[in-house]
Amino acid sequence: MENSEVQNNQIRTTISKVKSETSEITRISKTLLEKSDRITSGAGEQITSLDNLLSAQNQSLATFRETAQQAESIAVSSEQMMSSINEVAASVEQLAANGKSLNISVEEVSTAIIQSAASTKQVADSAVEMAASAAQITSTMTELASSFKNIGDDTKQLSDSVDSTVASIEELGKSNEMNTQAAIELASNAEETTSAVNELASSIEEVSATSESLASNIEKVANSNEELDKSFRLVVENVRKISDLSDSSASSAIELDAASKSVASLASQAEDVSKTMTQSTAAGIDLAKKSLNGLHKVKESINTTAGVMKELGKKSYDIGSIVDTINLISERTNLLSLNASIEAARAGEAGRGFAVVAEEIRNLADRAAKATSDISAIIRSFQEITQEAVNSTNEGLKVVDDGSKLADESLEGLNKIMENIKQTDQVIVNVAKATDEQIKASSSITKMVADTSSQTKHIVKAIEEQALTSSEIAKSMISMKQSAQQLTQSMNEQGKAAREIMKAAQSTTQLSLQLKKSAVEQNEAIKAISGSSQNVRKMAINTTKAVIQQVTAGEQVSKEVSRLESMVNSNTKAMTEQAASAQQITKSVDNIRKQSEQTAKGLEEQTKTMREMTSASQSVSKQIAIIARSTRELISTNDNALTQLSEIRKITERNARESSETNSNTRQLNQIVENLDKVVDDLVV
Amino acid sequence: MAQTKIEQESYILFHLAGTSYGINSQSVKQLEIVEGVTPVPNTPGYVDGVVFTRGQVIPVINLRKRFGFEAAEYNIKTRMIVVTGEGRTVGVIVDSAREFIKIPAASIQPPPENIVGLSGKYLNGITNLEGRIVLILNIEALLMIENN
Repeated sequence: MENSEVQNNQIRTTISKVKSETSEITRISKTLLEKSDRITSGAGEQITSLDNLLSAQNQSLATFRETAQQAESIAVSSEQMMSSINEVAASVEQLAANGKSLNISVEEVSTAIIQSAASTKQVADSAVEMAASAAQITSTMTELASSFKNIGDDTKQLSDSVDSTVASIEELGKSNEMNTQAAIELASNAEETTSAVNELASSIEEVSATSESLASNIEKVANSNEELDKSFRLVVENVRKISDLSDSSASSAIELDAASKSVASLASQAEDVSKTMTQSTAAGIDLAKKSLNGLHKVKESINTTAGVMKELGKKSYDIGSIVDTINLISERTNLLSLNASIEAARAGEAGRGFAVVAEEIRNLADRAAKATSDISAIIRSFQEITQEAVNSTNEGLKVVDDGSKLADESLEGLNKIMENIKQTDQVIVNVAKATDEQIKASSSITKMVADTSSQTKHIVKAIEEQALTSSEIAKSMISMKQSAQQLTQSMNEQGKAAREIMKAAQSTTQLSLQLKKSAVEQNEAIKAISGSSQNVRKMAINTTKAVIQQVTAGEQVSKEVSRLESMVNSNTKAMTEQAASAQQITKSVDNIRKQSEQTAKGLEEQTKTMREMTSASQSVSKQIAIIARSTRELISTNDNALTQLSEIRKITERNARESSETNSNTRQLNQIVENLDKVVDDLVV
Repeated sequence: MAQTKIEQESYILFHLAGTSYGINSQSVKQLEIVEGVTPVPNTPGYVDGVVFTRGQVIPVINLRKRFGFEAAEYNIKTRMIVVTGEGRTVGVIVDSAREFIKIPAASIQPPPENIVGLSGKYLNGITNLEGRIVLILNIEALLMIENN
């Protein structure tokens, strides 16, 4: 009993010990349960934040991929831009070459024009010379005409004196006839009447007186004849002068003809030069049109480039905003990793692995942040470069516009030259026409002058013959004078004899017969003189006619010559105009040359700008390649982070599973302890 | 038992007006990007307002203003550190917070004698982290002062 009592007590003590142990166990297991609950909930939270992190990471990866795509598209655009820029550069160089060839043709045109100007000047000089010789001819002709007029006057005078001589001679003839009749009458009377000897004597004296007057008349005729001879000599002299003058005018006319022909050849030369100039100018216009087309093409290309540049600028701003997003994401990733680290630290030993992963994520986020700041810097410089390229493009566009304007102006200038050349051509044609007319006129003048010369020679010959006749007349007059003197002497003797007749009437009849014979002879002589005088008169009339003809011819020549002079003057004027036009052309061509030089300069500037643009685009291309590389790095880094995060997630899930297992185990343990407690309670009972 | 074994504690490093500070991660509940701060009337100048986080409304203290530095605009780097202690939860606005590091307890030295004063209250110590001077913040002191 006592033993059992002792045993019972022992059992009781043991049971109460067991009870206290079980309650201790229960307490511990409850604490354990609490802790395990906390771990489970912690793991759940961890999973949620990891999920968040994963989705954020995926998002960032997608953004990175987009960035990479953008960078690639930028690279493609920049390559396109490069090729367009190269194309532009090539066309600009071609344009520059065109500009140079234009320059060369303009210089060619210029030399052609200068040549033409020189020729024109030569022509003008010739024209001036021709005008001078025409003036000389005119003055000579005028002189000639005036001397003709002098001759005409002289001839008229001569004619008049001849007329008066003839009249005197006729008078003489008449009175002589009367005398003859009287003598005949006397003879018959002497024969019939011897008684009227006194009468006869007085008649004889009368006859003597008449005879004396005859002698004086004859002397007068002789004197007139001498005068006639003198005027003939003057006429001959004047006619010789005329002949000399007409010879010299013939040589002048030949000179004039030669000068006209040289003007004609110069005009045809000028025409050739103007044709070459027309061709050169047409070629210049063609080239200017080509260069204009080239400039339009350049402008199009530059516009395309400008468009691409703007697109590029826009893209770079897009990338900037993407980079901002990436920056934000990396900041958030850093934040999440810090929070994960805090949670892991709070989890203690259990969170150790997690802490390592969180740190890794933080490092990755930091690297991402650094890469984005690098990209930001690159994009900033890229934007600057793009802006510069846009500016350069705008400048290029301006330069092209200026070039277009210059090319337009040069085209205008060339068209003006073309117009001027056409005008010059017209002037040259006019000159050629005028020169042709001149040549025709001068040849007709030459002919006329030659005609005049030969006519003058004829006249000289006729006048010389006339002179000869006149001197013959003079000779016969002298003999007539002698006869008259003889007659007077005879008459005087007759008078003496008549007084003797008064003594011897018979011899009177004989003497009367003699007288009758002498009177008839005398009459015949006078008739001969009258015939000669008539001849002289005819000749004088002929001379007058010839001289008048000569005067008319001279006047005609004078008229022709003044026509020639006016033609030459108009020719000279045309030539002067031509010279002025040539100078204008030279000036225009000089302008063109200057303009074309300016164009060439503008094109060189353009080429330079294109080169700068090309180098700028190359650097842009490089920068883009750097961005693409950085972005690819970023993507691979992010991929790594993603893998790491997935691992973390797996680990966390395993953790959660294990902790829930722990939890259920703890619950089972708790149940068992409770059961044990019950059993112990039963045992106590 | 674990602390004696490792002899180092984890800290969140943050920057404020050019200086690095450390705050024990045990006091930190979480870090957040500053969003949705609602200004509240009649609060001290260093309180930017209140914010709703994880189902709780907490005051937001601007540490620049609290420490007498010039105020700065919030930006992408600005962080709110949610700290707990003395039965309170408070959001502290700092210039940036990006690092989580472990500092051996032995490397933390007490603050110099001559700055022990008002500022000394807020500091647990000073450490040199590979050439960087880091002030270890006594967050409990800060929270206690807030209580008072």
